[in-house]
Amino acid sequence: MPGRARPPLDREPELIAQAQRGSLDSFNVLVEHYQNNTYSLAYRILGDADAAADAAQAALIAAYRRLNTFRGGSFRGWLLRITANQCYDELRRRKRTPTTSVEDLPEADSDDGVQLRDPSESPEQAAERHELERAIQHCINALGPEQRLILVLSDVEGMDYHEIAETASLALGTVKSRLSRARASVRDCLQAVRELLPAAFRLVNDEQ
Amino acid sequence: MTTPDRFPPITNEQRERLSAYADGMLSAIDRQALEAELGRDPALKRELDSLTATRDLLRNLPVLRAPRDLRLTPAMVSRQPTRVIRFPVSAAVSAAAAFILIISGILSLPVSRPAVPLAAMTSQSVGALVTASPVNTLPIQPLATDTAPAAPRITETSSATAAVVIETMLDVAGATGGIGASEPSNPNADQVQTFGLFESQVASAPEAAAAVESAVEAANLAADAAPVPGSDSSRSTTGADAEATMGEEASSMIQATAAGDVVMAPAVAQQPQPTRIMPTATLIPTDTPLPPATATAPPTVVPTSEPVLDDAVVEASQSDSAPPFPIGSVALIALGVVLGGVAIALLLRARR
Repeated sequence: MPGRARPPLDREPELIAQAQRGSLDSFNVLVEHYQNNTYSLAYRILGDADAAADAAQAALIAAYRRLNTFRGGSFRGWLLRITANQCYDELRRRKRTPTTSVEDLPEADSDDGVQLRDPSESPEQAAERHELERAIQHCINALGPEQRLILVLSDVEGMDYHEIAETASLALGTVKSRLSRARASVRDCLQAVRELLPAAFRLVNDEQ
Repeated sequence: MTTPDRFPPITNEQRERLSAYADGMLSAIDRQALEAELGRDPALKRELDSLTATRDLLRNLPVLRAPRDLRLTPAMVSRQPTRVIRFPVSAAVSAAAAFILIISGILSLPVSRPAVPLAAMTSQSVGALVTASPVNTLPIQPLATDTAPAAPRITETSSATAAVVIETMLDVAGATGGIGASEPSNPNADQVQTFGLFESQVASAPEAAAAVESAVEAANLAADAAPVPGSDSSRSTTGADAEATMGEEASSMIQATAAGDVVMAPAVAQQPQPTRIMPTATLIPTDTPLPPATATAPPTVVPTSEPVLDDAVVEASQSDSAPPFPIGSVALIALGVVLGGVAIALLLRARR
């Protein structure tokens, strides 16, 4: 989707340097720029608005505290890796002490996923798209934590295999196999809402 | 038409290659091989298309707006939680050390009538105040003899402590059946012999051993630090030798015990020799008559029915001698107070 990877701020290196010297204001300029990306990633992995906001906040705090470990490169990628790890820890914690059914999350949080909406979209289109997105999120939530993390980093965030392997501390082969299985699972899951799927997706399946 | 099993059975290995192919992650050789397969196998092609369509759906998910402002506040990035975790260790250790020092200082202060309050103490707690070995590190006091008058140099504090500990020890010794007596055959070996008795006591009653260590330590340390003139050099047998080195209350208690039960070797009194408080008086269990001595010197048996207190001892216990300034105790307490202040400072700093 165009705009997912927001272009870095013009002053980004300068802001990072100032933040590394302890300027919270400079860091907050960066937060302002990337907070939607951070929250969005957390929501895709966790499937729960409150937990996602908390995880995103915790990740930003962690990022500020370990800002001196940032050695250049993509600040957004660095921030998202910290966020992904924060969320993965949360997922594993939940797995140990499950509190809510994953199945309930999309319905329970119908106001989640406040989107950066395309103003040219009609209300009907918007409603349909929103429903599809909820269905997709539902299918992501049905995955296990390991597959979920890899799928979101790759297919939602567009990270390449090497980045994912580094972020999740996994071998490249593991990333490949988990990703292919996660994609197949989501594809199968989406058959339940195939009437919402785009024409291209339906065409593929109707050929069977 | 809508069930997943409509897709042809594809192996995991095949799906993995298709997925990587969709992402452009296959090597040139693998890619060419797969493309050849795709041309031959429509099922494989459908699998590839469905996986690619799924990936594209996911990739088109919108960025969501954060439900709240996630900018950081100074409070969020302060290291407060870490401080809270660190606080109890340093402050609690300081407070504990301060407590121990103050209590130790108070307990080592001179007490005029120590028997009742101190009797409540366990031998372990008394032992905690003094830890040195009784054998080689303590000043040696000359024993009261006919030819060399002794100068008992015992403060009330040390004698009181010794008395209590010795009482405890005697109780334990009595409970464990006491110790076998062995009289010294050689006067010069008296100290060795008595320490030998002491060691056998250690083996049978460790608790009493600790108590004796403490008693001897306390008495000798105090005697070394604060000489008290005056002694009765005429008493040189049985309990007298112990009394002469112990002084005042401790000696009176020991005398009472010894007079009731003890069989002592007169050889002890025949010549001046270095000895310690503890051995002659404290190692004899109450109510346990000693077996006939095999030593050259005949034992002296004191009647057990009525403990006889030496007049000098009674006088000594009744006299009011001003105790010296307890500089050690005061130093302990002062150090404890300083440490307590440190603990409070740490607490306040952590709370900030």
